[in-house]
Amino acid sequence: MTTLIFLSLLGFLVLFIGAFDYKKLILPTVIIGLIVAFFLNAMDWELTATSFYGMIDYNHYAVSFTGLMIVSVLLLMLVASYHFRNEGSHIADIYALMIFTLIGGLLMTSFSNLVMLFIGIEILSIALYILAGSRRLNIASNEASLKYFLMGAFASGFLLFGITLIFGVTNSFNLAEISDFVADTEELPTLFSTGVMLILIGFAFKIGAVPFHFWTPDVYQGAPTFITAFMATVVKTAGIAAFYRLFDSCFSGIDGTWFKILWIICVATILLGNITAVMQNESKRMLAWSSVSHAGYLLIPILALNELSSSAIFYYSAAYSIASITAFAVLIGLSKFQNDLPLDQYKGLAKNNPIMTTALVVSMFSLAGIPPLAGFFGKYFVFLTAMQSGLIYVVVIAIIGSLIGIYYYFKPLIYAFNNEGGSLEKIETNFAFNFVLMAGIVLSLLLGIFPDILRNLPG
Amino acid sequence: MLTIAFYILSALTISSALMVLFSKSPIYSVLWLVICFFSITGHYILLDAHFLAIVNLIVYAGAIMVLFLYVIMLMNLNKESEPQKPVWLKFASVITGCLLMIVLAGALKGYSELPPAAITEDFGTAKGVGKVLFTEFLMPFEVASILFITAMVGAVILAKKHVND
Amino acid sequence: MEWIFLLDKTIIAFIAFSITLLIATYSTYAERKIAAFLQDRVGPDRAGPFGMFQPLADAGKFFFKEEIIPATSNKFLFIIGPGIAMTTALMTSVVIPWGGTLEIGDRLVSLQVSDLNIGVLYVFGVVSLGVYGIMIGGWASNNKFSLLGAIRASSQMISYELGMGLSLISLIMLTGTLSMSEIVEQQHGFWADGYFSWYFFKQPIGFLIFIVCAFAECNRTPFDLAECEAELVGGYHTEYSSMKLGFYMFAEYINMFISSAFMASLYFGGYNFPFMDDLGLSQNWITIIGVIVFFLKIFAFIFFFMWIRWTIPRFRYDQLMRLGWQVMMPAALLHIFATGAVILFNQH
Repeated sequence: MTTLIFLSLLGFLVLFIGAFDYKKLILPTVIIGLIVAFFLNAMDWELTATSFYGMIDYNHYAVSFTGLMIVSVLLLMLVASYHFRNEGSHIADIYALMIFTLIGGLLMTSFSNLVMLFIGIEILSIALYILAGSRRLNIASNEASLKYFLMGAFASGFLLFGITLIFGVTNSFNLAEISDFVADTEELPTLFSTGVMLILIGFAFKIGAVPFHFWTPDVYQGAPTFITAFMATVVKTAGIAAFYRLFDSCFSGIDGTWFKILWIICVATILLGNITAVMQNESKRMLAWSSVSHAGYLLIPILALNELSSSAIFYYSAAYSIASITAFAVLIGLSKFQNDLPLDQYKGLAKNNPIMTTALVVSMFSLAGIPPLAGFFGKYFVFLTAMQSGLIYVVVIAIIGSLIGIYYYFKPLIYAFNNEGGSLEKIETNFAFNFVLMAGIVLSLLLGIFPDILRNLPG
Repeated sequence: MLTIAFYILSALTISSALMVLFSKSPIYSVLWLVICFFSITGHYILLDAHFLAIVNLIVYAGAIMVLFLYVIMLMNLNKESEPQKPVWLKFASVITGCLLMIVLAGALKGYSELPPAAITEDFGTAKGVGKVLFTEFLMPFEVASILFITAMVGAVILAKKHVND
Repeated sequence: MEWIFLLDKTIIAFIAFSITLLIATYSTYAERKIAAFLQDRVGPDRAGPFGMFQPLADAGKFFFKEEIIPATSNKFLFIIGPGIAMTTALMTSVVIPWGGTLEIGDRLVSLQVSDLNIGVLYVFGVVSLGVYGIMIGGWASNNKFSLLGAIRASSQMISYELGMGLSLISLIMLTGTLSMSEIVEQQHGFWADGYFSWYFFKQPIGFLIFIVCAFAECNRTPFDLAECEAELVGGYHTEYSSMKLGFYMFAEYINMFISSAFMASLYFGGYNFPFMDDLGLSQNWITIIGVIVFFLKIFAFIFFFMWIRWTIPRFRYDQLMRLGWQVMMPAALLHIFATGAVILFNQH
C-alpha cells in the first residue's frame, strides 16, 4: 500500500521538478524514488491482508510482480538517460507517465475487486497511448498512438462489458464473492460465461495474443524504441499477472467454459508469433512478433492453472523482461532516433563493441531459450506446469515454436559477427547504459544458474 | 405505466444508437448520440437513480458531446472526405457483429432466474451515492484521480507547443 | 386526489410558464428603459403610455418579418436550433419554488412545479444543454462568423459552468441537500441562531463567483463576446431573422430571469422576507407576500444585470478565458476548501 502512495507522490514530484525546469534533478529523483519504492514494496511482504473494503489484496503474488515491474522500470530509466540525452522539454512528463503506468501495473497485480482491475488497466493503457505517441512530430509515432488507442479502447470496452455481465449475475465486483458464487451455484447462467468470454477477449487484446494481436507490430514499430521496450516488458507482465490473478481466483472452477478458447488462443499465438517473426527484416517488428509468441508461452500456465502456475508465470516474466530490456537497450544504443531499424543494422557490431555484443548474445540466447540462461528455465518451468496438467499437445507445439524461435533470434547475431562490409565504429555510451547491459547479462546468467532465487516468490 | 415507458425509452435508445452509425453526416451522428444519452438518462430515472441520471446528463450530454461537436464542426468533415473501406472488411465486420449479437442474445437466456439485488433506502440519491463512494469505493474513487492526472498530463504532452519544435 | 394534484401542478406550471414569458417580454422593454435612464434619454415612449406596448409591437414585428433561411444552410438544424435554445431555457423553471404553500380548502398546495431531490443539479444539467441550441444554430447557418460566434459562446458557457458548479458545491456543503425548496426553507425569515439566515451572508464570496459566472452563462455584458459586433458581425445568430431570431433573444432574457430567480432563491432567501413570523398573518397571506417579495428580488437582479451592461465594458476574449479558468475556478476551489474547513471547525 505504501508503495502505491509513494509512487503517486513520486509522479507528482517529477511533474513539479519538470514544471520548474530542474532538468538535472529529474533522472536522479526518479531512480532514487524507484529504489525506495522497491524497498517499500519489499517491506509489504508480510502484509498479506485485504484492505480498503476488499479492494486490494497485497499478497506475495502482488508484491513479487510489483517488485519485478519496479526493477524493469528502473533498468529502463537508466537506459532512458542515454536514450533521451538530446530530448526536448517534456521529458519529466514522460517519466511521470511511466511512473503512473507503474501504479496501474501495481493495481493490476494486487486487485481483489474488478473495479480496481479496470481502473488499473485504464491507468496503464491511457499512459501508454500517450507514451506511444510521445514523439509528436513523427508520423509513425502518431500512427502507433492512434492505432493503440483505438484498439485499446475497444478492448477496454469488451473488458468492461464482461465485468458488467459478471456483476449482473453475481451482484458483486469482489473476487472472493464472485468465486463463492461460482462455487455455490450448480449451473451458472449463460450470462456469466459470456462475461468471462468478454473479459478473456479484453485481456487477450491487452497482452497481444492471437487473434487480437494486430496492433502489436505496428505499434511496437511506430512507438519510440524506449517505449516499445516498456510495452514489451512492464505492460505485458502486468497484463499477464492480472489475467492469471483473475482467472485463478474466480474462474478456475469453471474452466469448461473458457479452456478450449484459451487453448486455441495460446497455440495460435505461439505458432503465429514465431512463424511471422521469421519473416521480419526489421528489428523492432521482429521483437514485436517475438513478444507475441512470448505472450503465448505466458498463457500456458493460465491454461494449466495448477499450483506451479504462478511461479512459472513469474519466473518466465522475469526472464523475458530482463532479456527484452537488454535486447532493446542494444537496439537503442545502435539506433539514433529513426523508426526503421533493419536487421542488417547489427552488421559488424561485434568487433568494436564487446559489451553490447555480449549483451545481444545473452539476450537473444535467453529469449530463444538456450541453457543455461534464464529464458531456458522459464520455458522449462512453463512446460513443467503444462505437463502436470497433462497438456502434452500444447507442450509439443510450444517446443516446435521455440525451435523456430532459435532461427530468428540468431539472425541479429549472425549479422553482428559478420564483418564483410566493414565493422561498426565504437558506439559512445554512458555509464548508466553500460550498467543496464551488464545487469542484463548478469541477471540472465544468475537467474539461469540459480532459478530458485525467484521461482518460489509468488507462492 | 413504467413498463411502457421502459419500452419507449429502449426503442428510442436503440434506434438513436443505430442512427449514430447510419447517419452520413458526422454532425448528425453526434446529435443522435446526444439523444441516445438522453434516453439512457431516462433509463436511470426509471431505475430511481436520480443522481446518476442527472450526472449522466451533465457529463455526457452537457460536456463530452459538446466537445465532440466542437471538434467535428471545426474539422468540417463531410461525405466526400470520408474514406471508403473495402467490401470484404464490411462483410467481415457485419459477420462478427452479428456473431457477437447472437452470443449476447443467447446469454440472455435464463436471465429472469437471477434474484434482484437488494436496494438500500437512499438508493440513487446524492446521499446514497456519496456514502458508497466514500466508504466502500473510496479506494477506486481516489485512484481514479491518478487516471485523470495521467490523461491530463498526456493531453499537455500531446497538445503543448515545445521549445524545440 | 391524484388528479387534483396533477391539476394543481399543471396550473402552476402554466402560470410559471406564462409569467416567465411575460417577464422575458417585458425585460426587453426594461432593458431599453434602463439604458435610457442610465444614459439620460427618454427611451421608447410611443406605443402606449410610457411606451408600455413596445414589446408587443416588437413581437408583432418579429412575427410578420420575412423569414430568411440561407440556401446553403442545413435547414432542419437551422430551424431546430432556436427551438432547442428556447426549450432548455424554459425547462429550468420547473424546480424553482415560486412561493411557500397555499392552503386551499384542507389541501396544502406547494407553489413549486416539482420538488426534485436533485433540483440544483437539474438546473445545472439543463443549463449545460443550452449550449446545443447555440452551437447547432451557429453551425447550421453555414457562415463562418456564425460558427465563430457559436464556438465563442459555447466555450465561454462551458468554461464558466465549471466555476459556477464549484461555487455551488460550497453552498451545497452548507445546505446538505440539493432540493431547491429545502434550501429556500433553510433560509426562513432573515435572522436565525444569532446570524443572518440567508446564504448570501454565509457565502458572500461564493455568491460573487456565482454571479460573475451567471453573467457569463447568460452571455450578458461584460461577457457578451459571442455577439461582439465589432469582430463577429452579430454572433451565432447572424443569419437568423424574424421569430427565430426572436427565440434566441427571448431565450437569453429567459435565462437572465431564471438565473435571477436561482440566485434569489439560493442566496437571498427566495420567498422568505424579514419578520415574516412576527406579522401575525395567516399562512396564505405570508405565501402571497412571499411570492411578491420573491419577484421583487428577481427584478432587483434583472435590474442589476442591465445596470452592469451599461457600466462595464466588454472583456477581450483571452481575458475572458483567463478570468474563467485561472481566477474563477481556483477561487471556487479555494472557497470549497475554506467552507469545508469552517464546517469541520464548527463541528468540533
